[in-house]
Amino acid sequence: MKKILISLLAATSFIGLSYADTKNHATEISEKSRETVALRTLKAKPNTIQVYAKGLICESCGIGVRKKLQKLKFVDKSQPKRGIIMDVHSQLVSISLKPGKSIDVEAIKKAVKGAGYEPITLYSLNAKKLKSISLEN
Amino acid sequence: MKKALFSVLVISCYSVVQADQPVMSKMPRWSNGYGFQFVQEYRHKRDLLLGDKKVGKGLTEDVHILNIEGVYTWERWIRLTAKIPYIMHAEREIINSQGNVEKQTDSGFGDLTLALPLKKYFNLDGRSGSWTLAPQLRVPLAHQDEYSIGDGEWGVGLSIGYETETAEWFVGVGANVWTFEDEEPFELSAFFDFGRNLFGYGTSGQITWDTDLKWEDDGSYILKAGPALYWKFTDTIHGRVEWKHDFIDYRAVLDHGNGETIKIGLGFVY
Repeated sequence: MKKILISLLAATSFIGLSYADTKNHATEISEKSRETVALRTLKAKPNTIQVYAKGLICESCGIGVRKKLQKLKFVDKSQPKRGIIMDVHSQLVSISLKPGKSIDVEAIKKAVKGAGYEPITLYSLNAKKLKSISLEN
Repeated sequence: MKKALFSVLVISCYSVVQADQPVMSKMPRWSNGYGFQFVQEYRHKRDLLLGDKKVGKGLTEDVHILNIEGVYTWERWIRLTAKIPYIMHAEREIINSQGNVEKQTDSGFGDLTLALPLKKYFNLDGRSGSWTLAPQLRVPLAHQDEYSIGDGEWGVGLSIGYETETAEWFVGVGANVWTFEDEEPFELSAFFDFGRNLFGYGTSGQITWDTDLKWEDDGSYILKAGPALYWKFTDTIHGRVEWKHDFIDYRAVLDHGNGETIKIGLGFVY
């Protein structure tokens, strides 16, 4: 009985701590917040685009995103993380582009879908303003 | 009485190899992905039990297994997993028919477990997860030494599971049934895992509290729980360490119990 109680106490404490901490982190961020993150990243790193991959909340599960995207010809694999950086909090994938190369939107969609996620929006910088293209359907 | 206990122990060979779940349940989530992992497993059981009574207090069983596990994902909804344990050394103390303590050992390959997990993934804004249905097959490869860790019987199993995760936390629940060809009892097990995702050193990991409950139709049941730490070293190399304590251990037939299990795994995905 004592062991059961210790087990329950440990489990309850862990759940409590996890829940308390989770309360401080919204699991869903607004589109505006995501656009703010995308704009900040794109300004800091020219020659990149960003893709909102819905559901990309786990780095290990998302390894396939990097594996699939880095095969695309326009991706600059000489950049850190082979040109593909994932942010699981905003669900944004940052793709470094080779200078002068044009992107293939359909190939990006196929790669993200093949990795198990939903490509929703592609963000790029146009005259220092955020330009977004829907990738749905 | 001792003769009877010895006889029951010899014929029961209660299965303690839990090889039910698909390996690397996180990965590969992508089409045409594959991976393998090696898991060193150490088990120490402190007593010989009948029911919850210690009929052989201090009669231990120590088992060291190297689990070799592989997975291939065709499409994200279907994958094949295989797991085979190699018993590096197993040793247990029993009371023989003369009433003396006797040591028995086992080594070599255990039984192969094949599974075909079918996954239904869902992607929400800020949360992802999957439902799993996994038919399983146990192929008897274990040979009988002085005693046997493996079941040594054909078996079929079915596993169902649900897991969901945000960037911060993780929850997984599931159930598993196994039925065997011959003497091994029908098994029903359930698991409940929950934890936190961790970030640092340019990569990420996860700490969880894992709880397993297993029941067999001979009346045996066991509740074990403990922490686990997973870490992604690189996109290819992954590590996991877990420790489980037997909180409740009821043996309907004579067997060792009241133990600890430590697993240390290193996995590779491509």
